[in-house]
Amino acid sequence: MRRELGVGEPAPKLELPTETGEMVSLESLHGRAVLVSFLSHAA
Amino acid sequence: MIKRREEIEGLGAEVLLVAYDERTLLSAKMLHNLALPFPLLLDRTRKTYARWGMDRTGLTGAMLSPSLNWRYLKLLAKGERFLGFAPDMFQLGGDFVVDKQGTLVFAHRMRNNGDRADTGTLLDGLARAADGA
Repeated sequence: MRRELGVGEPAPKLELPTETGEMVSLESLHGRAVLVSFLSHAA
Repeated sequence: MIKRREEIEGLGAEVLLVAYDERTLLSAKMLHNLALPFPLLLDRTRKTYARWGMDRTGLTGAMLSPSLNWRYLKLLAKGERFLGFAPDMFQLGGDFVVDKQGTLVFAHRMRNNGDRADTGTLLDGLARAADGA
């Protein structure tokens, strides 16, 4: 069973490309508050 | 969230949107060709979805959720059209606030396709994280 990461824990790694191929990481935003929103399906 | 952009900028905070569908599909169906003020990151393999603990739902959670159907009804009443099904209706999303030190201070993983955290809650969390409270 997968352990669900919760409040108070370090955020998991996040490094992904934008639509233009530019890589963006959460780590690069260290020192700023960040809202990460995972979208569900496009419908 | 797009409408609250100035408020977010005033906090000195950032927003990252993560999607797994193709950009063209997102533009046509979800974003209605809006220019996004936030970075849209693409996770076609969904490895990041899995790493952050995003679950998948079944038929009931994807299509029969009362909250989802209520949302669709409101959109249809506003004149929106149903644009067909997405290639994968079962992948769920979620919303997270990360503070300045990289710690999760808010986490909401969807339990069905109508279970989205409301904007006010997210902005409150973001404001607290930006304050360092």
